[in-house]
Amino acid sequence: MTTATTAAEVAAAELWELHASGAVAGSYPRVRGLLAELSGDDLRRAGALLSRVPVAEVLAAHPDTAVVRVAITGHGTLGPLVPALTVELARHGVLLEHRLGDFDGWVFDLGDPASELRVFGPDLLLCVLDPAIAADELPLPWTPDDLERVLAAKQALITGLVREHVAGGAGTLVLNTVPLPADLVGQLVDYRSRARVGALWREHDAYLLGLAAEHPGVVVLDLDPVLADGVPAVDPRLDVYAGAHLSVELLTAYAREVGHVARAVTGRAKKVLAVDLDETLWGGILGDDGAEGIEPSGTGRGAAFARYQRLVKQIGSQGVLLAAVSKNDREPVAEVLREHPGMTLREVDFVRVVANWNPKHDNIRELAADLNLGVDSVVFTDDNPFECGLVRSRLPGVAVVRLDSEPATHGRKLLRDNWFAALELTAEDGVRATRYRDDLARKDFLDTFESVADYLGELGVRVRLGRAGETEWDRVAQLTQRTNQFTMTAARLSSAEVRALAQDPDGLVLALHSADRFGDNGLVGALLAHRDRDALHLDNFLLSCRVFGRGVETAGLAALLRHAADSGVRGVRGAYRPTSKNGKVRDFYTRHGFALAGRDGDTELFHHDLVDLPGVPGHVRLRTDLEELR
Amino acid sequence: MTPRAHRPGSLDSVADLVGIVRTELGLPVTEESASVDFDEVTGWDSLHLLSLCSILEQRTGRALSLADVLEARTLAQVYALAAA
Repeated sequence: MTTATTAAEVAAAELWELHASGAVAGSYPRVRGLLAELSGDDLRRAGALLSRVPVAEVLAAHPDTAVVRVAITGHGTLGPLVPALTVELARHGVLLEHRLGDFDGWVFDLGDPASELRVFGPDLLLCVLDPAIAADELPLPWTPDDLERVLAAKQALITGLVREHVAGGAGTLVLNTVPLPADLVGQLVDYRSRARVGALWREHDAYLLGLAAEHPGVVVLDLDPVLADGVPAVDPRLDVYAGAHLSVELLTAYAREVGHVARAVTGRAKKVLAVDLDETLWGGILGDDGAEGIEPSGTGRGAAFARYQRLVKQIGSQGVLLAAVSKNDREPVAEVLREHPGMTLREVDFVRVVANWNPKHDNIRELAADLNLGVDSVVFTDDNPFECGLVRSRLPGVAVVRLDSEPATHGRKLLRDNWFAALELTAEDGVRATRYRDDLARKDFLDTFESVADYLGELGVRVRLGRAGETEWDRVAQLTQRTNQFTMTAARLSSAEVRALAQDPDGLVLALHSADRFGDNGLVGALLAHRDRDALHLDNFLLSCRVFGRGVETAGLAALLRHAADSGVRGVRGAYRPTSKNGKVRDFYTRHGFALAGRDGDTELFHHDLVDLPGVPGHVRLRTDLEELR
Repeated sequence: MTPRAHRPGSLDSVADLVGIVRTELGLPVTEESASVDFDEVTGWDSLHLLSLCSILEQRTGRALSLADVLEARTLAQVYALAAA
């Protein structure tokens, strides 16, 4: 055995030992931490090993492991995508359950509701578009006019398939822009024709990207930035001999992007960016160099740190909560954030600035607890390998982005894994940081009261329940995607699915808003239901973790039950499907007068006979805006 | 045997190739199975030849004919092509 020295070598060796001793499934929770150290060939090799481990074996040993169902279809050979997807999802702690369509079966796979891939019921339906889809149909000889005709026909075909998917399909359809191969455009000898081909091709890509804007439930991955980083589009040998029309390198990069989409649709997008300060946000060590000695901007390395600060601020403007976690004395850090003329980031940009000498993993754990989030919502970035290693080993759920002594590459390292990728932003994201800062103020306010009851009495909680308006459907979908603790079934819905339920005459999408003396909390909860004759089925009940413990959920449920009773409904049914994170709502229905009515697998079914209705908590002012249930 | 044991590698025998397949593709092949038709090798599919071809090219620093590699029916035949 060779002696492993680097962290990557140690991790690769350990993974190999697990594989060789048949222990991968049994040790699956360990795998994610090992993969965090790997890249390049090591990661490819890990994909080959992991793709041989049956999903069922991992679930038998670790039933709480998240699974994403992915259907893969396209024009060419896509087999090499499977190990790449396996390892990219495993990096996020997610198991891949996949179906691979037949070679060149994409039109049938997408268009036929009875196709194996659609019946599979995927969370993600990947339709990998490649240049051969158009190139294979060009006549010989061909002109730009021929290409224009072929691309127009493909656009019509793809649009039809997208409509079919949006109308009938669940899950998210993933398309991609298509690289323009040099071998294709080079077939034309004159620059005028080449320019026209380039324009037609880009118009085709723009058309595909437009489908994402037009149709909720469709994601179009833009492969241009990947290609711009030097990934080859096509490997001519694989193209000709194996019908693989995109290079393995490009499929690998594509798989990484799909991993980010999978994270977003399964509620695993990160919510907090915790940054170190010295050598991360500014050059130099504040404790040694003093405020005048550090470089948060300027020329040379200072310019690189300024650029990184701008990136962090930009990320913070989109609903990601920023925190600083630094080994420093508190006062000098506060002074720099308040007064240093070279700083881009200021105190107000952070929901919390932690500057002390405690271990960073303790600080991060406490930060997450104060924000009422799990540590696996946190991305931590630090230039110090020791701190990174310690956080990674003590808090395996935290995504650790290890920076180094070259600040010009800080940004690229942070962005590489798209940690904060979301399907779309809502108005809520723009004000999230403010809301969390209000929450921390509420906590301080709480500390001044003798009892929680006194506190709630003074808090002045107002709750409003009403049908979600059209402009709120995206936010409701986002709640289903982001909420992990207070969700009765953890069913993730796309915007298209929320829309469909809201427009269904028997469907009901209700929004819960709350506010108090510290400000408006916004749309914090959702009740999804459907009417079935004289029963109302409460499909899911969701509440943002920001407003736990204030009676908002009791007020919302009480209002719904009261309304159901007034509308002549005979009973309300609810279900609880346990996940690794929603244990705190297991007894939510029984605490409010529901009786256990049965089980369906691990799902518990409840029934409320609407005889004895729960009351609205005394400290809550409730407003209900509901018309009669149909 | 760790994945490092075969890197950077020579390719001096079928045993070397078997080791590469075990470490790079994670397939439990043996020297005995090197002469067995791929159809009879547990877990084998034709896409493995694509990966194997590029791994062997990296390893030996020589280009192989992918068209010929894709025609191979056994690991021994792949070795014959790579060692030729």
